[in-house]
Amino acid sequence: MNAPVSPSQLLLERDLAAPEFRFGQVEGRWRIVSQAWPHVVIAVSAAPRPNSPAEFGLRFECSGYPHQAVTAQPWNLATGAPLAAHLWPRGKTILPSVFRPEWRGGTCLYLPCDRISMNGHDVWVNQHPNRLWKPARGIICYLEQVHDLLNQDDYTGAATA
Amino acid sequence: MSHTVFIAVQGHDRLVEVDLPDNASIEIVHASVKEAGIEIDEEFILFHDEDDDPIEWHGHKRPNHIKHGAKLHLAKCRKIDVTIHYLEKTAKHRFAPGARVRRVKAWAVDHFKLAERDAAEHVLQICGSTDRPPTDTPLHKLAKHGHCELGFDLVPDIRVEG
Repeated sequence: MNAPVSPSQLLLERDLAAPEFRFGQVEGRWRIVSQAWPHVVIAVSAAPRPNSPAEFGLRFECSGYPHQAVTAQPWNLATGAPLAAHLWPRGKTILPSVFRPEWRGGTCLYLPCDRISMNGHDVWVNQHPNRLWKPARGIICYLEQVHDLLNQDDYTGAATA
Repeated sequence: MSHTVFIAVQGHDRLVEVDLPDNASIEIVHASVKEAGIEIDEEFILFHDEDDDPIEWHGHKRPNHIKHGAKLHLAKCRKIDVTIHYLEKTAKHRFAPGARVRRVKAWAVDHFKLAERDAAEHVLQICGSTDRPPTDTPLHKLAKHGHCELGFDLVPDIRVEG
């Protein structure tokens, strides 16, 4: 007998099939690598930098979606495991404040829209209103932020695996 | 062959995905948008992505430059008048309604002659708000209803700390 599908899973699948997400895929901003509820692995493209990968994997955990924010861990797409700290994207100012391998053991990004990171950071509501989780936009609002970070001048690249 | 295109309509948040055959007419585009529950009238102008000029589309032949995955815009504004403030300076420029925030920032960085490091540390914020839209956002999506103008402050981005 098939296990019942949770409303959160259905809502995530709805958003992953929505034109906003599909357009990002067609434009090459991101692509779905794999799905196994409550996880989805998505590769986000990065601006070209010398000796750096063209994309970075994120493994999202989506329990309670979309009323509860997702959390995402940098993911090694080749090995299907957490991305080693020396392979995380690097930058000059903003990017290193978000991609912090030492934060929570590298299990999430230091972003106000991340479910794990937002805990205990009530001050972010006023400091970073544009980076907060928006249930109506869902996983797109997380992906747009990561894509912007990896495609701005602040991003300097990363070592390749 | 049918091409999938994505249509953004000024005044509406969601995209409309449509399959356009080779012999599609502009009426099919309008009908598809209406079928998606979005009301439009003859004042809306169709643009391809960030192009400055509207699409010239006559009869039953899809224009060649509308490729698979293209983004189209149905906008009420032919142009968006953008004002950008940086420190004590102000600049104005007209952009296509489908121009993205990234293009405006690039223009502002060039106009205000920001150094590379300063450019990397600044973002566009909508005047009178805390909204710093994603750089792929088209300008018509940010213009207030019925307006063809938009104001930005070019402000320092801040690290996520705390």
